[in-house]
Amino acid sequence: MSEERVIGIDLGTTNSCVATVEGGVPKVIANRGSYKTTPSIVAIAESGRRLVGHIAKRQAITNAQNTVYAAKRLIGRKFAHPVVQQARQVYPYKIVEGSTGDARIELRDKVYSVPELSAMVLGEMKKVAEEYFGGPVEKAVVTIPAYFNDGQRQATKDAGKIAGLDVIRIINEPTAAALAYGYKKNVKKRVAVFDLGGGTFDISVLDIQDGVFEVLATAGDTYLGGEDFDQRIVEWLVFGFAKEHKVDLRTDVMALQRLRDAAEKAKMELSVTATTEINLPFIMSTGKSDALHLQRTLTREKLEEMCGDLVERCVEICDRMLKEAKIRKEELQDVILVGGMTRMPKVQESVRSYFAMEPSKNVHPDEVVALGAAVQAAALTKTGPGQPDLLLLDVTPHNLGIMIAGGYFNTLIPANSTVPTSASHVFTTTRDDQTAVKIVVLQGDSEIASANELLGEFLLTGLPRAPRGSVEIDVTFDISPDGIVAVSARDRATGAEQSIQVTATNKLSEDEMKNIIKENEAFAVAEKSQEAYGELRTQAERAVREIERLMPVVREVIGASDFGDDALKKAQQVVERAKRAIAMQDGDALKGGREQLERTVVMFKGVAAKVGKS
Amino acid sequence: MSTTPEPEFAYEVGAGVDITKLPLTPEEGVVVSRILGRRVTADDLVKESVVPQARAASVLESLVRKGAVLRVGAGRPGGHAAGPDPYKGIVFSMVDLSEPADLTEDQRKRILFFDMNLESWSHYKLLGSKRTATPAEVKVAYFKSSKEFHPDAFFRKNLGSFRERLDRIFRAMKTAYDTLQDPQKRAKYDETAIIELTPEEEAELERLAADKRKADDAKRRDERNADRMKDQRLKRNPMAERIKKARDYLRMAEDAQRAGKLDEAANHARLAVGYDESIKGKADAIVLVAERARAATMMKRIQQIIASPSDMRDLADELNRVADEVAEVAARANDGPLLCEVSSVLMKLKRPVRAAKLAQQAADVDSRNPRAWEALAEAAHADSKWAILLRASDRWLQLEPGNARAKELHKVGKRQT
Ligand SMILES: Nc1ncnc2c1ncn2[C@@H]1O[C@H](COP(=O)(O)OP(=O)(O)OP(=O)(O)O)[C@@H](O)[C@H]1O
Ligand SMILES: [Mg+2]
Repeated sequence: MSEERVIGIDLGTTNSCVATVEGGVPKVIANRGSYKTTPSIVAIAESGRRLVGHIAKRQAITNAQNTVYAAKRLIGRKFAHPVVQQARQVYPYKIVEGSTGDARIELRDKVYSVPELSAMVLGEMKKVAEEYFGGPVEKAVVTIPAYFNDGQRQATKDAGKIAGLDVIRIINEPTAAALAYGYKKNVKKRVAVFDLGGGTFDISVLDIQDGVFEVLATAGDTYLGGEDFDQRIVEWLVFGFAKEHKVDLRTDVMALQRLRDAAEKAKMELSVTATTEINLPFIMSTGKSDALHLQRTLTREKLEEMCGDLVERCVEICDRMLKEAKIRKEELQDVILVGGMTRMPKVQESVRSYFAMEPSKNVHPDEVVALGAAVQAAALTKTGPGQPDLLLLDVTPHNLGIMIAGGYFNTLIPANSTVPTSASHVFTTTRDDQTAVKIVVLQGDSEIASANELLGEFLLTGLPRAPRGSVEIDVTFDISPDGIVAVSARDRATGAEQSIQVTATNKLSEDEMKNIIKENEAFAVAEKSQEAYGELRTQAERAVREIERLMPVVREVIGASDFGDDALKKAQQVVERAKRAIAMQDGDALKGGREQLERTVVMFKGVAAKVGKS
Repeated sequence: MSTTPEPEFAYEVGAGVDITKLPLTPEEGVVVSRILGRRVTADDLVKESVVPQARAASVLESLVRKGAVLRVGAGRPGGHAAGPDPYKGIVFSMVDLSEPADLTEDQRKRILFFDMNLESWSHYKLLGSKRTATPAEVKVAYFKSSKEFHPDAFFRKNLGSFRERLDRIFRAMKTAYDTLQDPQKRAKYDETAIIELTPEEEAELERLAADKRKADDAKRRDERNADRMKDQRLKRNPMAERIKKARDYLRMAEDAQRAGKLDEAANHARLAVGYDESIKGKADAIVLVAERARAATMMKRIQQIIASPSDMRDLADELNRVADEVAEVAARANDGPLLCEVSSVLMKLKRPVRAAKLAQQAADVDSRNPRAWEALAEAAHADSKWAILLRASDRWLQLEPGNARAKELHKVGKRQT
């Protein structure tokens, strides 16, 4: 029985990773450069070409304005959201407001939605898998930070759709890590997963037993990660430089990009060494013909001092979650570290001292999330008889509810409820003969309605005319296993039912979605034929070189006869035409001339072979 | 008693069990430490000479009772009463059994069987858990049930009408699990629900109850002995009679409280104080428990009334009366949060004067509670007591600097004074 090709993708803020399960063993699929992770970076080159991953990262310094990294920090967010406004200050690319109030990114005069950009990364991961399998892959489980809200989840699903993936499930990153940790290992423990990546922090507690993974509680911060550590270092460098030279490096995008790269590199080095040099020659020119150089020494101690509060915040979130879930630290039997930032000694130390135990060293912090996604994908698509190998009982991270009179938030499904789940509530009219009611759906943790995330609002119309308070409307909230919310309403008296789509205000509209998918299809086609063109061109170039190399020999042998002269002239023409087609980048002309070129090569080789000079 | 041989159970330590926190004997401790991280039978333990054959059964039994280990390997969910034909006497509809769906006949029958019994089965029966199961054992049962009935076990399969049934079953299982995992919810459920018991379960429950009774009796006996000795010491005291009476009433009050008869307890406690002022502390505590319980019930009623506006009009009188009563208890109990809550209710009832008084008291109880100052500020605002408004909103702002409402009220206070 052949296994269906299904993959798990960890769509990270900084790095993405794809994995699959083969013969019951989860494994990471390396990309063409044999790297196991791919930078989540997308760029548009001057030629208009899309670059993704390592190539995009390599050209980031010279093309900073058109290179997007950390797009995940913006996904599913409104332009007006404070974190988007903050991102606008520090990221070199241009963030603009989309038609539905969402944050979008402008690159070379074209505006992209964030899901579109994430889709490019997902598409790249899909391609990596397809190259490995040697055939198409469609089904995937994609991971997201556990603390993502409905809008961010939906937007990630959209990204999958745009990339041509059938996203069979969205799962939470810490949960995925736990799946990989406990898969087929007969684990029977209560564990905490501490996941500090490039952009987000998550903490989850699970009970693992008999192949069932039950999430007891989860918390996090979707805007706390390695990027923030880098930013602290960048600021430190910028201010130091300003003091010395009276220039603000942030005004120069290229300099800023170099600073950012150097900051991350220094941060990583300080995980193993006590001090590091940051050396950026020619960081800026003053215009008076002399260039400025940046050179500073950063110690681990200084880094820890600058970023201590960030680490502290992670610990506080852990503490709050355990208290709210009424779980004692002593009940935990293991702590799993996930995410590149957990390599920082200070982070490990804080975890060790807070949980009072040595964290588990059994998982690979960069790969475990993708592996877990692959494990879940395989479990869901498992065919054949019998119960699943593993079952995930995950929870919803936020309270879900509606706004009630006075602007308060009334929770209907509390945080940490196991999904899928649903809840019903009876509403009524507040005026006589009222035929419509408005319901504002919110997600979040504040008692004040406006401090929560607005998922959408809808009008339930067509109610029978009746005195106020006498119409009864059952409203049902539903959370899918993906953590995505749907709402339906029913008028009790008439039994009339209405399903309402919660259209989050920051989501792509249906039409936009369709357009993007279509555009992407067109793009996929364009890219395919471009690749084909490349191949034609190399073939033609090789043939031309070969013909030109053999030309003197062939001329010597056959040039004397009329027939031979004619053949040589024709060969010359063929070569001329091929060269012109290459210069014009004319794929069709190349295709047309291919046969003649090949025939000429064969003929020339034949002649040369006869005189023993091939 | 039973004709079938004892089934071979296995034992394991449940997830999240902290064995260091359990009152284990040294022998039990050794046994648990050898079970940790594995699943073993009593036989295994005997073979490994962890525990002698003669002691194995009773040590394991005691460990299960103390919640240290789980006994696993008992029957399927919902089916532990099932014999060779679990569906004896049930006629399944051919329509259901032949509907196109990716399900085996056995799966169909299981789903139909569970679905038709959802209403009548207890939470225990639904999960296939014993009435005496520890939380860890309930978890094992729930996990097992989930693997069979969770929608993900049928991911993207064509299930036809069975999809809906399955959702229903899993939802019911989740409710059952949530209820049985939470000690308070479970206690309440046990009290009110009709739960079928097997004879073994009844016997075990009976034994557990007897154990508890014995322990309680022993404790009471000790207490009584201590009292008797005290009596002898008091013999020549002229107040002895009164003191003894007070103590008797107090004991009756304590007994009543233990039995959940809180009002009765309060009554006894009041009588006790009449005889002996010196036990006022203890007695007042009992009275307060009763009053608080009453206040909580009333509070719930108020919230109910407020929540449904149509009731509100008819019940305004009742509301005012109940609110007054709660207010009194809150004032007497000096209960800050309750004072705040009542104050805000009174505001909704348009009685700012009383609301202000209660809020002031709440603030006196805990001057660092922003809710108290908020309540006071709102009340003063409604009653146009500007000086008070200024003072209260000022305090509130100090405690919650960013609060918009506090700022707004503070501004009003300033403008008016
Ligand atoms: N040795 C190291 N020392 C310190 N930081 C490191 C080290 N290695 C990687 N990092 C940091 O870890 C972060 C990337 O981690 P990771 O790849 O787990 O994130 P991600 O999965 O892309 O992001 P997220 O999960 O938040 O969406 C980067 O900020 C990187 O600088
Ligand atoms: Mg990650």
